[in-house]
Amino acid sequence: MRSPYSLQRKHGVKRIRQTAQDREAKRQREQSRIKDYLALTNVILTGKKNKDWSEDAFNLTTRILQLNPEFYTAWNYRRNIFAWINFASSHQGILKILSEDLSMTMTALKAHPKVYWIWNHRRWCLENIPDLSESDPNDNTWKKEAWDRELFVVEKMLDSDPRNFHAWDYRRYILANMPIPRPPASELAYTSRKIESNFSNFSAWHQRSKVLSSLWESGDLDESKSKEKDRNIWCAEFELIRNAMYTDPNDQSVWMYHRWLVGSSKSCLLVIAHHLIASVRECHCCLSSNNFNVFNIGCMESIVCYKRMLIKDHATDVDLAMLTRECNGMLQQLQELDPLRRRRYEDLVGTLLK
Amino acid sequence: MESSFDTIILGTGLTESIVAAALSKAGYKVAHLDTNSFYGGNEASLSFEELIQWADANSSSIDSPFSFITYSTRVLPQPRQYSICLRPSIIPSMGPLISSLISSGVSKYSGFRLLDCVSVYHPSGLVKNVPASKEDVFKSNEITLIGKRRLMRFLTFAAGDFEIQKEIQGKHDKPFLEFLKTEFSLSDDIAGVIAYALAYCVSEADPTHPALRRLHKYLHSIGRYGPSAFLVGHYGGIGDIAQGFCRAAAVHGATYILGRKIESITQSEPGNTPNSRYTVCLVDFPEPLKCNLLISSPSYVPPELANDAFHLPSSVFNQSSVDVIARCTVIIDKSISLGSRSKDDPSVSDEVAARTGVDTGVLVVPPSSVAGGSSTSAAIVFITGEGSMSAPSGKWILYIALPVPSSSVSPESILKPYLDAVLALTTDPADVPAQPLFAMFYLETSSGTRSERGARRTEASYLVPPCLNYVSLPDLPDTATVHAEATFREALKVVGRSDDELRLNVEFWPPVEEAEDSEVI
Repeated sequence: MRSPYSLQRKHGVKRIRQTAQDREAKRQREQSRIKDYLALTNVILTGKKNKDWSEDAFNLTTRILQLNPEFYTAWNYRRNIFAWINFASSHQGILKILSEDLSMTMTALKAHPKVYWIWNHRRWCLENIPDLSESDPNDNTWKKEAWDRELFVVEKMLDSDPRNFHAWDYRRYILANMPIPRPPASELAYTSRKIESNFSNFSAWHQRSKVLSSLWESGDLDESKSKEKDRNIWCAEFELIRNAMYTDPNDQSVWMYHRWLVGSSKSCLLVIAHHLIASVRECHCCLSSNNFNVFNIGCMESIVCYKRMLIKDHATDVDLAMLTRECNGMLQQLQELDPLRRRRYEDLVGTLLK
Repeated sequence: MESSFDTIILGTGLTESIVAAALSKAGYKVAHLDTNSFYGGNEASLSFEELIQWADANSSSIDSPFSFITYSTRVLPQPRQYSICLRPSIIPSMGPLISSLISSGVSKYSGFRLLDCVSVYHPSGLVKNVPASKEDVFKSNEITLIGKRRLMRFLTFAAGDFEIQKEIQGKHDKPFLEFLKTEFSLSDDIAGVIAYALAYCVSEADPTHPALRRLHKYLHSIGRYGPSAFLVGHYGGIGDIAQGFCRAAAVHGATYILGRKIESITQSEPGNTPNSRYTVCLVDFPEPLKCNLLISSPSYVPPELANDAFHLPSSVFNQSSVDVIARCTVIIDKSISLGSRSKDDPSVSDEVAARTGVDTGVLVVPPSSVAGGSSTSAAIVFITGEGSMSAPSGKWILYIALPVPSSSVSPESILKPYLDAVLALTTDPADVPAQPLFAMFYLETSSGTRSERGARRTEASYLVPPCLNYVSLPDLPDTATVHAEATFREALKVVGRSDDELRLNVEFWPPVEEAEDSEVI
């Protein structure tokens, strides 16, 4: 690892007064850089207007995009050139350009991890990898390797910022479009690791919900067996979220995922809802009885949410009057505890009475 | 050679080295002497050959805090590739030492790595990871749900402004373990892990307030440079860092003389000649050295000047109940598994990770967890290998430190059960304990927290920084820095230039100069 100094360079550093001369020299340097940049921009825009699809123009886009990767017109122009003239007429030539573009966008992403145009350009590169031979899939190793490498790239990006939603979005795109798809179970394991390293990560929970949905939807042919399996997965998820709930009940991502989990298990809702209310209440009791945090807003809101679901979907199986009364009481408390959302709770009370 | 100095500093231990760097950087003329031929004093990091020489020299010395030194062999391949620290330590990522390393620029001379893991030894012979953060608590499958909530509540309390909370009021001196169990309803297991492996208590009697202050600092250190709260310095840790401060002092003009015995130190009334209050004569050194202010580590104080020396008060973090530490330093060629999860490849399952060894890690052994071990004190095992540049590839240095009741015990026999327990944790091939290539045992006797001796004058001209006591593994470097700053401030009262209006407000480390708005091209 690097010495701590480099990470803390800004602190404890004495500023040296610059002379007027220094400042002027600096201004001159900046001016000349601005002038160069504007001139280059002009050349590019003119070239695009005049439909200049030459290799020189292509190289100019490389230069400007290295200066400013957010200049989306330049990215579009670059792709136009690539499509229009085939200065790379052979497959090998195309592969060479695409791999150069992939490494160029990689460098750009390291400096600008949240620029849409860079991510878009990578997608375009991947999608334009030619099939070398349609009859022999073995010839497509380059394509396969490129997509595999992409997964590695996006994992690196997520290591440096686990909440970069551009990277998560791109990851879903890669997983959906890989020539050889990966089993969803391995993606579930990946989200587990991300959540374990920091569960205050909406993106990782969201990804997990997507993977689980696809697992459930794809379901086995054998209906009963699949239900059993679903239930097992569901219970494991429930245990995971319960751990998060007890570790940090003030973390909103916990409650968001909890709600999603409840909403996603239509099959055995009644049982589950009772089960859930019991466990959330247990958590709530444990919080209040130990003076941890007298009332936990997340807990109470979830209890209300599940009770309302019971009232709405299982009106015939439950004690409506009692549930309504309980919800009402909790909503009244919530209005005091969480005044920022008072109107929302009032509104919920209104819907209860209908 | 110039022989007149603002101050002469005797001893190159961590505290003295930091003082030397600070005074040199502030523009004072410093001569820094050490009778050893190496830097670092009691905190030195030595090559294998130097270690053997040190052991031979110290086994007969009476001034040294180290005694009962025994070792198994004089010969080891690649002896120069080892950096073995006499008092190994780890550095909290937030604290006085790190701040000083950064603001003095000394961090540039050294590299650092994060501690891979802290684990705790369980009486069953198993090693368990220590839950220090929210993520660890969430992941753990050994703690019950309610246990998780209680643990999180405690960690939040300890990381927050705990001094003003009601839980602590009136319980500052209560044993920390008891405090955890009664105030936070924590189970024996979790309370033990917190006290010994998170707050580095040495016994169950350790009081609450200092333990919480330590823990608070460590919790805030998490995440500054990565998941671990602690850094380990390359090339032997704090010994190399002491040398780094000496280098910074030399860069700013300090004179270094190592490996010369001191013949005499004499005092004379300050006359008209500047810098002539003390005269230090060295054996085989032509010119006497003169100065107005003498700063020395306690072991250098000559008996005739004992009444003159002003011993600075010890920092609150330096209050220790430990008088004697049994230490051992062992070199092994098999990796040890502390059951940590591999960081670089998180896809490796725990079972696989358990078989891959640790490069740099800490294993805490609470009282009564090793058969034949101490039932009152916790031992700390610190392992470091190639990753901290302290050992050649495929070799690891294993340090064990255990507080012992008196200096009349054999360190070897008292540490043997611990060493055997650790060696049994080898990874390859399983079940065959590692054999030490080299083992050294010694006792370290703390000179105790001395009461302030010597006449306290407004301007004491002979300063003695407090000894570094053993409080906890990560504590030594920060304590040394706090002592160094106190010594620096005291020194300014004597040598501070009269034209320096704010001489007492001089910054410990003046800001490093750097051009405004360094341009990014």
